[in-house]
Amino acid sequence: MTRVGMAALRQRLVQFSSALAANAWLQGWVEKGIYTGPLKVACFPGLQCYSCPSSIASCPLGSLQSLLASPGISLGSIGSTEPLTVLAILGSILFVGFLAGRFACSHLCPFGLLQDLLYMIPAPRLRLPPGLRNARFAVLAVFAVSLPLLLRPGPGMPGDPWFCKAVCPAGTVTGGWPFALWDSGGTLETGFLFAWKSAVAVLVILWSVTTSRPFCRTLCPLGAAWGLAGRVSLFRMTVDRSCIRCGKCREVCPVDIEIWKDPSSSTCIRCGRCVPACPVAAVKNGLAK
Amino acid sequence: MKAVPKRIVSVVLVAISAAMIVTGYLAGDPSIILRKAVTICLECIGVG
Repeated sequence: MTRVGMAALRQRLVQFSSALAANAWLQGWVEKGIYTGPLKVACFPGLQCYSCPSSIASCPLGSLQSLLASPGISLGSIGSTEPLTVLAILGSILFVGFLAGRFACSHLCPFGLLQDLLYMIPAPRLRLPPGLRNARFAVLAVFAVSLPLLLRPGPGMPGDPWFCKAVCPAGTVTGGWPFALWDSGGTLETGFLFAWKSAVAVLVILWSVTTSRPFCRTLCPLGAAWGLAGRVSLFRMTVDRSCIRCGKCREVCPVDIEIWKDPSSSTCIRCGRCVPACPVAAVKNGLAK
Repeated sequence: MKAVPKRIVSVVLVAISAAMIVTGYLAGDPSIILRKAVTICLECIGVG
């Protein structure tokens, strides 16, 4: 096996272990319910819906939005404990990003693994349209922060987790679809919102077959936040002067970037495949100097 | 003036985010997170 193949295999082993750890409550699929134990107070470093039957931890994005949308977070909320709790969630997200940028996207996120597996299906390969590459920053600013914080039916009333509600395909695939399937009594509202979210999820699934990691590169707010933090992270990529710009790194890159142009790129998911792919050993990952 | 090494800046940022976690969990109310996470979030999964 080639060194790039070994790196990919190592990554895959970590991804499967992480997905299994995040979904350790397997009996949830049998009992048709979710885990309600104390571990859910902690955030899992990845897009892992806490309404997935097997999920043992919280989704950092879901927690952040539900706190931002809570009645305690608004002008005049002095004395409320919610702002301090937001600090814990923000810290959980930033800690991962400041440590190693988007490493969690390539190694820990279960939805990243799902996209990688879908991309293994033989199909025509399509490049990502350049105009979509920075959309994830708008999704972060609008759907994950601004709308939950600001859009409320009235003063002092709770808002909605708009990224979860309108976009997140992970919640639809691992929570919405199973619970809708189990809903024999027809008590759940599987109306327009469910149809919209199912359409988004199907689109992301089909897109993942033809394009590598499309959700990570265009829509994921968590990846956007970690990408920005990764510009100053403790562990980062470097490219030294011996680089001959042969493009071998781009050939193995799952997010199709030229690492020599910007080693701290916010798109880079730190999978590390470019390190063994470099014929002159110019690409390295390690502690910031 | 000598530039601050990148590693120092990164270590400080990691330490600040770790302090945010500790402060948030100790001085905030983590039960809010738990309360939300232990009930099926119908709006989050598109069925409510």
